[in-house]
Amino acid sequence: MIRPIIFATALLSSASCTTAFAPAATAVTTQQQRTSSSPITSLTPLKMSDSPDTPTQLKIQSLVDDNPVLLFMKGSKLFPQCGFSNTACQILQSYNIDFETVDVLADEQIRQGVKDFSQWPTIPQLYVCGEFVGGSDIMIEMYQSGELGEMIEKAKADMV
Amino acid sequence: MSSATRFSSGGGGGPVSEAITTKLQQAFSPTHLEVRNESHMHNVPQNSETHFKVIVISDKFKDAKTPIKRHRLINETLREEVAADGPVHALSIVAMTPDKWQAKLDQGESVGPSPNCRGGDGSLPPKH
Repeated sequence: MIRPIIFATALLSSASCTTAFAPAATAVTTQQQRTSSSPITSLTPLKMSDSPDTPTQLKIQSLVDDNPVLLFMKGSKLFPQCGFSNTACQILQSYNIDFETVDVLADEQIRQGVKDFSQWPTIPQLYVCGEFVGGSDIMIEMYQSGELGEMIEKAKADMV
Repeated sequence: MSSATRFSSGGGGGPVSEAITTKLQQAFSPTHLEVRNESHMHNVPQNSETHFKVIVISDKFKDAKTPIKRHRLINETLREEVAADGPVHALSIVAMTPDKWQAKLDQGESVGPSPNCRGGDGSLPPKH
């Protein structure tokens, strides 16, 4: 379950905003720690069906590293092809932020790969500053609580 | 457990709905449980069991402070159902402690249906 060091270093060397959410990053970062935004790590991990160093996993890692606000979704911002992905897009658009999207319908390997990568079974999936935030239900919850807004503001500040 | 309720809309309690209900009851002993079959909102055959919303209210979420942890606990419990080759195509989750749920109810909030499908995943095999 432990991801190789290369991922930890990739995280540390990417956009500076990663430090905002991972102040206690150590040399070796496990998948659980990486995808969790809180220090409590009492999760039962889902089984990974894909090795972390396949080309698809590396590609996803680089997408996540290169884009401060990244949404894996079905369809595009202009033409979301799923109600949940549409909700996710609308929430992000409400922050007036320049976010990137990846259409999983256009690439079957990414579609399955991102589920393995995040250990999360559904689409959409949001990453902010390299951290997995969650799917559309969690986005709605964090949008309503204001938590997502704070997270996006931090990402925005680092984008300039 | 005795106060747990089950709610299913759009086509009775089929085998998938039953399995989800049983697993969630066993794992979380919820004070309130709803398993809503929302498949009828999507472009799938009648009486399908592909799209679900679950509302799980349980004391067991007291140690899972963030939504992502609560959702992961449920995804883990329903791993077989939501797997790429499993029956469930989309799963919307509401997971909170009884206190939070009560506060939500007190504020007059309720859990509405999930957004309608937008046509990109109407066929059965592809998963959400």
